[in-house]
Amino acid sequence: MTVNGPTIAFLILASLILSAAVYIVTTRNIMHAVFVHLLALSSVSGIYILLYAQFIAAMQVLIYAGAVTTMVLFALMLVKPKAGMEIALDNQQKGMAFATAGVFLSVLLVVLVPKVWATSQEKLTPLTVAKFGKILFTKYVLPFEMISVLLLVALIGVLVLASKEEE
Amino acid sequence: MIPLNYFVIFSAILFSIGMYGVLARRNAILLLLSVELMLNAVNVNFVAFSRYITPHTIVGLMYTIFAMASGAAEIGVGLAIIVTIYRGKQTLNVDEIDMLKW
Amino acid sequence: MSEYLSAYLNVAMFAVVAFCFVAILLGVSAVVRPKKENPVKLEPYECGMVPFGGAWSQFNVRFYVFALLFLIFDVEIAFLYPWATVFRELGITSLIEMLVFIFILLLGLVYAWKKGVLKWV
Repeated sequence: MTVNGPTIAFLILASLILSAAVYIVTTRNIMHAVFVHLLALSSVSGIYILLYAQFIAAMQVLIYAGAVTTMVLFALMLVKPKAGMEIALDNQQKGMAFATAGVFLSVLLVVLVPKVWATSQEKLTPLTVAKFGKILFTKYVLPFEMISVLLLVALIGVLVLASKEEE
Repeated sequence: MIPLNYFVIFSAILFSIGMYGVLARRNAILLLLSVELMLNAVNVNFVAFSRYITPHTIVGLMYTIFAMASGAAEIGVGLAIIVTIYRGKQTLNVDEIDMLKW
Repeated sequence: MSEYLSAYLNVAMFAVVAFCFVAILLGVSAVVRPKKENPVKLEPYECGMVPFGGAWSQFNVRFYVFALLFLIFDVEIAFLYPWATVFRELGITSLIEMLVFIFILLLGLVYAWKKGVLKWV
């Protein structure tokens, strides 16, 4: 185990995110869950920074922390307070869910912990937005355009759902 | 440099927590939040592998970008469906939303 | 430590300071202030009038469509940043690529317009 700045930063961020995640899946107050979710998502962008992927970190803050949390808050405003605040856990299934997730995690850990990955030997260098953009707009144009089609489909789907509402 | 395995194990734990949330939660909005946690775990994995194994390409990062865009679309459409169902059935409990069974 | 990470260390320190600032202010005022609660004080503030209904009332569904339009164009704008950095280098090709991208999303906006969801009645 190596102790240096980035590793300590990673451990702090990881424990912050994991405890936030545990809070989200156990709390009974949905508003708190949404705001803690925002904290977890912004901390994930710190993880991306440690991976030297600046653009992904910016996207994380813009899309997840910014837009997605806003959407969830909007949806909460559209339902009545009682329904939003209702006790959210089903105790009958809690044990089974815990067992399933626990077994899944332990299998993963048994496989992953001793694994040695064939990583590239060079030191990580920052992937600047310019470098990223250059590859994105030459080699990966098609997936990029597909994203806009995907968003268009989502937009039209919501408009159809919302206009049914109005009738 | 942080060992790659740290990131992989971190995202495995995060994914499992999200999985527990999806299985145990009965509030549709909290369910979506748990799904987002799982998506984030996967994204961290993609970025970590992409940066550590193929530092000069952006294949893994493309997956992440796509997953983020589809995650945003998923939240938009998913919440619209939840709100629509709520207006019809006055409930957010996914156990009570079983119209497709009939 | 590399220059890259020390630059982000500033961001982290800023976040910590901001967090502590709020926590200390709220914490000190929570400790120092006198606690004399009465029902009128605990009411949501509504410009001094007696509030009717809770603070968390049900909003119109129309807001949701606006939030979604924000989400869609937020994702779009996130892609304008890498485009802006490479525009000089890649020239007209990348301009066309970006115009196609924006055009497809504008179709959605036009659809919303035609459907009348942007009108506030």
